[in-house]
Amino acid sequence: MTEHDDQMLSRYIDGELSLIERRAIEKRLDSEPALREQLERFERVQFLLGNAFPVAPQDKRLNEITSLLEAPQVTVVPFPGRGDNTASSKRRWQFGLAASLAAALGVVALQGLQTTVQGLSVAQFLELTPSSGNTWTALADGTEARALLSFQSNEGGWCREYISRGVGKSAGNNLHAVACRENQEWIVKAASQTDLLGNAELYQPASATDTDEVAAFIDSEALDIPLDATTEQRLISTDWQ
Amino acid sequence: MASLSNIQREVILADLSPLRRFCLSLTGSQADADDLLQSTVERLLDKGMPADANATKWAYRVCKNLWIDELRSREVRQRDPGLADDHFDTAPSAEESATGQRQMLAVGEALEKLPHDQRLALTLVAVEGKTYAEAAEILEVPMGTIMSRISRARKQLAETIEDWRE
Repeated sequence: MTEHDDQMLSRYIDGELSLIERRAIEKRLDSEPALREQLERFERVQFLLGNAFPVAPQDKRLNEITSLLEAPQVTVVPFPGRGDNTASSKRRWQFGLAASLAAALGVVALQGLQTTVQGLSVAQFLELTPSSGNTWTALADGTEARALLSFQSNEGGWCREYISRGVGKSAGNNLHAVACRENQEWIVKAASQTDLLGNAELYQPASATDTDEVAAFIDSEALDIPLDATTEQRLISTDWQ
Repeated sequence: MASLSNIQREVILADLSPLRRFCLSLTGSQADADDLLQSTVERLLDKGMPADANATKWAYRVCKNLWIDELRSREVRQRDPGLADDHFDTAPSAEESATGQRQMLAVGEALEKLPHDQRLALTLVAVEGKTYAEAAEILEVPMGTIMSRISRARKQLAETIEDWRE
């Protein structure tokens, strides 16, 4: 067994071979028992590694570390045009203040549902902005965002896939994410940095494959096809109730 | 160096659980892993990152560098017995006697025997699911180096596991 053979087997396990290389190694595996035995040894290692380090559950320590990363609150002014009745306003305040960090997967509690001086917070954007194929909305943090689609989760809640892009000095800093509405908060469930290829007005994630975290989340958590525009607009007008 | 943007914070938050697992696979204990994770987050907040940096890869790179610093300081402490600590008590506790914990300890011990560079490369790819290109970027080495480190690490681990079975 040469070092090159070991590398080929390793790359085979890790999905790093080209199609031609993969076919070649599979052909050799059919006819070379020693190579096959080495592959089995490597696969045992892979199995042990994959099971030895499970993702630890969200706990107090992780919550403490997570809280370090919470974005600082921005200066707020009353939210215009969404009703100022006490109950409604109080409920919307909870978006920013509750900051729940206890959900399972790298959770982010988003900014409060108040209008900032500069523009919408991410939570406001998700709460109020219809999905669009060509419209960017300016956010308070200086980025721009576009909702791509909305869907109902298996648990019956509402989720939204969106992208945001940095502008100016942050240009090229693009996020592809999905957030779900839970307990009157929008919580990011999956996110990854991505490239916007070609015409920036046309969204096309560089990693639009089965391994994309956002795509995988939607694939596993969406109850049905995305909401149509009419249903989405009705939910926006009724605070997603 | 800019501070963290909100997008970068969101990306890191979304990646915090996998990053924690990466820390665990490096340190071998949850308490040490959480210390390393916290140091990583504090460093990211303190130093920030360039606006155009890929937040995930940057965070892993910072974590890796902090871990290497920690290993170096441990080597210094080990050379001076007076400074040695009992941070890594290998005696399993009652909780650790569960199968999963035993397996983690055994695999962790086998990983500890690997050269650090091989361990980092293998952990990123085989535990964290990074591509070779991503691991190369995080570890700041050519992709060919990642290939050879991973295959050598697998080979050594396979031999260690063979020893267990005998």
